[in-house]
Amino acid sequence: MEPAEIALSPDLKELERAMQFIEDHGGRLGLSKRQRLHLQLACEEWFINVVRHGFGENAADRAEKPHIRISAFPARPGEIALRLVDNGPAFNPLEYPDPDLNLPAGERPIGGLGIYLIKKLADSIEYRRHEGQNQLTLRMKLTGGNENGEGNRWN
Amino acid sequence: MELTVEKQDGIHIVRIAGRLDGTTSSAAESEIVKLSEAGCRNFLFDLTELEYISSAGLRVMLLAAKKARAAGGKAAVFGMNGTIREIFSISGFLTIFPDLPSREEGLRHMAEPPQT
Repeated sequence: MEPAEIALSPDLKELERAMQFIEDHGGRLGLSKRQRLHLQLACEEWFINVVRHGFGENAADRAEKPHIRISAFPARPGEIALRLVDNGPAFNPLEYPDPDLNLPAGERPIGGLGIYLIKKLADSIEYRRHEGQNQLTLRMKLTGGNENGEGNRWN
Repeated sequence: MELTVEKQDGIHIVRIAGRLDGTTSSAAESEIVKLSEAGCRNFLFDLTELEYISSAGLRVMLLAAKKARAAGGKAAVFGMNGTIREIFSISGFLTIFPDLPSREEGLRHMAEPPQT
């Protein structure tokens, strides 16, 4: 199967297209509703981070054109992969420190949860910096789609 | 995302429906700030129709909890579906927001004085 792919501009307005991409292709590849929501959430956290920090205020000074892509494809047997690629500055989310979730509300910092959610929601996650691009690959195991009785609609 | 506010027995019930994400959270945030500035100290969130929440949405929820606490009030939620509860759990938000089983239980909880 050819990987499905979408290119995005560094603009939060593009979020809706990214979410629709995951809904459509996640469903086609056999992910359950819950898994699609988890991948949408991981993808949103990644995308917002890329837009804010990767192509933020200095975007106009950048020599290279923004290159932000999402692809979805069957990976190892029984697994679906979502690959998130951008040519912003090198950023490895796996090295980003986890927030302290035991702090009471008053001391909890506002923010800092996004990267943590990406790490917790995928079954496995892999980062590499390759030819000036950040490549983040999230994998989900196919569960048979029984959770909501609709995951295997296309099989 | 749709946010509606209802007042019952002096408690503000904030119903958030749809997707609370990076594109809708700022609208929700300004509603929370507005309520807080108008003197609202207690936030009871009705999440029955909330389908999706990201860290941007969680940030708004945390802001409400902080504002409530700073004003001597409290914040709680009811009606979460399994997916939303899972995100709350992963994020450590179940220790911040009492997760009440119904609107009635929510109102009863809010009527009790806050624990310090």
